[in-house]
Amino acid sequence: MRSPRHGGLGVAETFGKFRGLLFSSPSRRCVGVRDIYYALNKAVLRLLEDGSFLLAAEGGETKLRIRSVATGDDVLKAKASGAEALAAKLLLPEAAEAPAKVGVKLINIQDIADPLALVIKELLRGRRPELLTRLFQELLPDAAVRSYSYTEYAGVFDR
Amino acid sequence: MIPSTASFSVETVFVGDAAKYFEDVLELFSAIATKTSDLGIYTSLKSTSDPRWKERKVVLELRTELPK
Repeated sequence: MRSPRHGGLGVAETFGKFRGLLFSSPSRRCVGVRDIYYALNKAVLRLLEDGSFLLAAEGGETKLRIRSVATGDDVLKAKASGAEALAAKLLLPEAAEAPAKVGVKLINIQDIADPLALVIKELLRGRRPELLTRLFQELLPDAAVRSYSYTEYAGVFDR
Repeated sequence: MIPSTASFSVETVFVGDAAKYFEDVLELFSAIATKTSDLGIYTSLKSTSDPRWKERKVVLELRTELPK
């Protein structure tokens, strides 16, 4: 069992391990349920230190930023942070032409909902509320008021 | 005592100009909630609106048992 507070990002390491199975050793057939799930998804996400993600799919790896609503500014920021792609639910009109201009690829956020949910699950099980907060802070529009809460239960307080 | 359950919630409030983002965020949270629910995470998604203040709110709560 890995400790919840080891160095680096637990999810990145865990996912990295499975990615190795999936993408480096296609001949290996002896994999668990989780691996099969990843294989069906054909894409694995890793949360990086700077709040961006690494999307590993059959075509290779892409550094990705995720926003629910993307503005032109988000596109430029993504480019400045070294991201090659931006996943968004909605691209504001002002941002529509920016990706092509600066060379950032656009991805529909629905296409990465599966691996995104896996990242969220692993962060919660790894007791990393600070990373969950960072993830949602990245995801949600700045114009909205966001608040987060995290609780752990034990023993008699179990629900 | 080692905790056995962890719960995380994110509340997003949309007032004024931010109201135009409400539907997209709700749709996105709905997609995430469907997936986390499939993954065996207790998932609750609540959406409320207050017509007096033209305020809309989305709360996503996720809860899971921690690995022993």
